[in-house]
Amino acid sequence: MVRLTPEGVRDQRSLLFPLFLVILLLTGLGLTALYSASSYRAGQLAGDSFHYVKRQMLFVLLGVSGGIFITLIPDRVLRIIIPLALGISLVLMILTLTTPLGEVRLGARRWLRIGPLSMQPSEVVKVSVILFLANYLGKHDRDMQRLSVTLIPVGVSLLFAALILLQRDFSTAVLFITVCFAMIAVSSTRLIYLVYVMLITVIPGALLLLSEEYRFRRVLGFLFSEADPSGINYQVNMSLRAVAAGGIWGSGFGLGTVKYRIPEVSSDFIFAAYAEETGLIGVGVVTLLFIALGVIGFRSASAHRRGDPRLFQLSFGCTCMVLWQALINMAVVIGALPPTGLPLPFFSLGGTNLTMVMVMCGCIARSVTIPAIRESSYGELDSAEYVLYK
Amino acid sequence: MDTREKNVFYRLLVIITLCAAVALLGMYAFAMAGTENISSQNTYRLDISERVVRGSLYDRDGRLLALEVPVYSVSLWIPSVRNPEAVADVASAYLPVTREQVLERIAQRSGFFYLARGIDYETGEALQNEINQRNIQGISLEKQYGRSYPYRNMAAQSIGFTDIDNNGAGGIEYYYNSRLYPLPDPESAVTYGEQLVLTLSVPHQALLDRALEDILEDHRADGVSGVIMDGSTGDILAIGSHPTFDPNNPGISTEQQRMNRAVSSMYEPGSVFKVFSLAALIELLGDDHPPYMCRRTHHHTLNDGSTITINCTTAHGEVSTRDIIKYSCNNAIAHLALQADSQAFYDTLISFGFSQRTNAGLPGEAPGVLASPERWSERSKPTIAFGQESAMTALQAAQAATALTNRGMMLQPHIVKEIREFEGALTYEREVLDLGQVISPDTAEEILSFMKTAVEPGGTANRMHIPGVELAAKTGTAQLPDPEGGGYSQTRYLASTIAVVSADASPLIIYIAADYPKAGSIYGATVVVPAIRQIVEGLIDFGEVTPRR
Repeated sequence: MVRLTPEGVRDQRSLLFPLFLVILLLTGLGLTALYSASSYRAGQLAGDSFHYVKRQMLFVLLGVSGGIFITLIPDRVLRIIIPLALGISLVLMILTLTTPLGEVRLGARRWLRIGPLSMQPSEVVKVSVILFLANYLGKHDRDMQRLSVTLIPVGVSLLFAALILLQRDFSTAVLFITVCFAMIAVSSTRLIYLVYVMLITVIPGALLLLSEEYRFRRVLGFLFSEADPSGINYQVNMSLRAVAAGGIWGSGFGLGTVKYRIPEVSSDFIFAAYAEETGLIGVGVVTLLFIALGVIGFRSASAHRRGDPRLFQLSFGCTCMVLWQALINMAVVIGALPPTGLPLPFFSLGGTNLTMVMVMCGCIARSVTIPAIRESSYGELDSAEYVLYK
Repeated sequence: MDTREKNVFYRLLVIITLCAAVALLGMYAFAMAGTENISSQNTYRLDISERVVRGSLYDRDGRLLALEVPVYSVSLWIPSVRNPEAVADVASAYLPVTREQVLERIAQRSGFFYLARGIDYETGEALQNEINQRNIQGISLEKQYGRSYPYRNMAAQSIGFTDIDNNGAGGIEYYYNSRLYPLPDPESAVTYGEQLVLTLSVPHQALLDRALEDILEDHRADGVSGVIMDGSTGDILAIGSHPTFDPNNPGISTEQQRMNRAVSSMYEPGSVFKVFSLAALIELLGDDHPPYMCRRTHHHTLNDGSTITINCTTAHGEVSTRDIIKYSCNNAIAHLALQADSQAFYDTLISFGFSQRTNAGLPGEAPGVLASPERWSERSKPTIAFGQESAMTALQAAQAATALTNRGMMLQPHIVKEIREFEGALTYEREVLDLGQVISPDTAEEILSFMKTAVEPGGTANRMHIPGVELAAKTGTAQLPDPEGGGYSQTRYLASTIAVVSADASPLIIYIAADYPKAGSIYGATVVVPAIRQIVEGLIDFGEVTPRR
């Protein structure tokens, strides 16, 4: 048991309230935007304009419970959960791909349906692999210089990335593998290992890009946006129109009209509807909220950099996952990136994604609530924590 | 790698991420300003004016033949389908799809598809109620406008029908599509197409349709076509082609049913053609000829010395010029034709409109065939005279007959009488248009009087004799080409008759042709004449024709 003096500890719990506020605001804005974007279709299809919002709120509750759970559970429970979560993710992914439980929607087999419930296992994979990597990289922080130790997290990441790719979800796979590699890269491994791995995987990746016509067409549509105004770039052109129509002040919540012309307005392109109705002001607020989330996440990660590499990795990985996903989605909407299928965290319709975003925020909250130890104390953290919690 | 270096990499990632977020905001402002010139108003306009109301069709007396009615399009959005079984149940109960089809499509496809379109208003409302009551998700109904034809299969091929997007896909609907269904006017919320008043008359059409239907069924013909034309204006009062279809549901019709035989089928006219060839020959040679002695089979000597053998159905005995029509004597008219100048004979027949489209306003018109004299063989002239070696359509026959009813002056046939804007302003009115003096008034009068003798006892068309009604007619029974090979078939005939009824207002031309009747009777006199009689009796009932006592 290591006794820690108050001088050796950095208490970050003052960040907890700002984090809570950011999550609350983003969730609130997200639900409002979802109502505005989905009410027409919900009314048409389900006869209740709140249909999708009500569903989404259920997942907010589920996500918040999951987030609080992950924030508060003791470390030893978490360490039991991690391999369990990883195993469940693997099973879910394989079930989706190989059994009739996997549901094909919009040309992609990404959903798993069990009775009335349906979910997107790739979202669960994101969280469980981040948890696994954080635990592994933290635990082996000293040995990461060895190639054999580095290869295990690389292998796990690639395996799951490949499974996501098999679900024809190219953009999620790319984001996922980028976050995984970023986590491995900021560990104490040799960067050259990752360079090797990337060289070995980038070439098949490029081949994959060219293997699906729609993917190739999207990239083409991105590069030559004027060539095909009604085709693949239709959504982007329409969302740019929504952005232009929004101007600085926006047309007001619920008053947008361009949004009705955007096909995936309640999921991938919800930000366009939000932009049309709240203008630059609303977009600025959301961007600042995401930046604030990033600052809190990265700061709490930094604080654990030496004392607890696992919490460092956990906070870093989760922050990157949520933030990058948000940035990519927003960049697509303003035409700065080619269209992807990535949802906007807190905003886009989709229960699994929302729940997992909440759980990832819970991970950030976890690293905020646990006081950081300034000096490295590998192997003895459990007891240190124990002392602190006492 | 030392920790210091690692820290740099970590910081770099963090800084890049945060900078990207700030940069994104800048790019957003840029995108916002940059797309301002793509004024979104341009796209709104298109949305608003997408509503185009297709113009209605009326008969000459203002009866609605085709109009816009609200219909429903029923679509499925598969991601919202919770219970495919329930969806399949209601869909198959109300829509023309089976339960299995719906389930199969839900399983196989993704996203959006139409279950059915053009569903009538009542069914659509009932389906909507059921969906609401049972809270079935995934099905949605969209109200649109579609075409309705209250008189169903009446003149279906000529009126035409519209496709699923309400564009004309046949007949007048197709021919006048740009006027009925103009492109949306960006200035107004709703664009109205023009309205067409047709020359058709529902009572006349009903009489013709009944007659054609009867021939089709009683004589088991492959197809029957007919025209009733106003002999003093060229207006098509009725035009029919059977077998027919219901343009309200063109999807289940066959090509045979959609074919407008009255304008698209051309066939050898047979003896009916003698009316026009004899008119031409009287113009060229006068009407004062010694009677021809018909002994059934004759060997006519041609100019090059060869002979041609022509048969009549029976030995007609002494046949005067007048009797050629009454008895339909092939030998007498062949004998007369051999004396005429080929080019002059051909020119007169061409001026009757043969071998040219009538351009009455119906799509798919066949031009007919009449070769020019330089392509004739020695036997062409006599055989053309009794209706072989040429081809015509029913509409051409009626058009040519206007020269008889209109004192030698042929008239342009019309199907459209008026075109009016939605508010009623007249934008087009058909004018009675002379196509030239084909024959002299005397010849026209004479031919009609010959045709009247055919209706008298002993004439070929005596079955349509009605006391007190002035009727003129010429029957025809033409051999059809043998589909198995060359030459004429010995079993396939085309039975036809042209008739002129002196109705109270103006003479009416009635022409009917039955393709390959298979029930025993093959002659125009036995297949078509009773049908025309039926029409004339109907006209008497309607008060169009008043028998004199």
